[in-house]
Amino acid sequence: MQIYDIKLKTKIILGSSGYPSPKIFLNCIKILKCEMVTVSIRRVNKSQDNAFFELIKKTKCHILPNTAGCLSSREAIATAEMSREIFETNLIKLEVIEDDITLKPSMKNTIKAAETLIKKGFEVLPYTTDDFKFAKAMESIGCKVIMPWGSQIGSGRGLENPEKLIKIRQEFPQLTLIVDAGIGRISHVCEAFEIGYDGILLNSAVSKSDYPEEFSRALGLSVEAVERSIRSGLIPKRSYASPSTSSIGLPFKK
Amino acid sequence: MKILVNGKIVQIQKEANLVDFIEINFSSLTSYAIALNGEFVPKSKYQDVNIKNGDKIEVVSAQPGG
Repeated sequence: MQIYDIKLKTKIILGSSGYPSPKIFLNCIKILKCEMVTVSIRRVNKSQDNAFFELIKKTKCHILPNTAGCLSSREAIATAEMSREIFETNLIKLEVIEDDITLKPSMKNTIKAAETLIKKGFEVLPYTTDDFKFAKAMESIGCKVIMPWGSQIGSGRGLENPEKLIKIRQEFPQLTLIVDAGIGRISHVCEAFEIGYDGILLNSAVSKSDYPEEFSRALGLSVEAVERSIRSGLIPKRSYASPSTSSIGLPFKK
Repeated sequence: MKILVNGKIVQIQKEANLVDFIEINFSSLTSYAIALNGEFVPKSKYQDVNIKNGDKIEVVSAQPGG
């Protein structure tokens, strides 16, 4: 999977939030052979140490900071700039949401922030809805990677509008497309790859499962399985039945 | 003078730039970034930025995220 100048061997980008322990998080990375993890920045308090930063460095993964929770382009730009200084990367997962309830990305403010960030040298991975116009706008301002939602963040509802995601895939074969948000089950992951997406970004499905390491094993196996099935050549979908058993020599026919 | 640090009012006794501010308030941190009144301030500028009454300072560090 190509993320700007970075070529990843794996198709999973893993969020770093909400694991039962740092050890379990590190184990999940190891099990998935993960090469890129998402992180955030938040206010510090006086007694805070640098433990999380040291933990992330220990993973040796590429770091993808996010702008989660930003409600305006101004907030997102400042957050991206602070993230770049801390993590020393031009990559930014750009999230500018409309509200705190749906966490739906704001098209207007995401475009506005992305335009400025690209001018400042960032490599922007925008979190979008499955609206084609939103994806088109991001592509036209220079984003090489687009991350439409499957469904709302943390909802676990999977790909609610696969037809819309397919349209984005068909229109932008040159872009890296990653389903970001809404993944809850292994079947959602398989569906995303079957419709031609390059990758998956997920967090809660792993970290909030009862056994994150076991879910990671299942996830790794499913990615391998779905990749093999795609390479083997999937039959096209048909509107009508097509018998698999030959009708030649069918008894009782005139 | 009074300033707002990460959303909380803080009283500052004397004039300070951002280097002084960090040394006094967040000396244990090695990895952090600052925004002043909503705008990012690169570390290279800390020495030149003097804190004024009413300034809003955000000090952030790496945290888990999805």
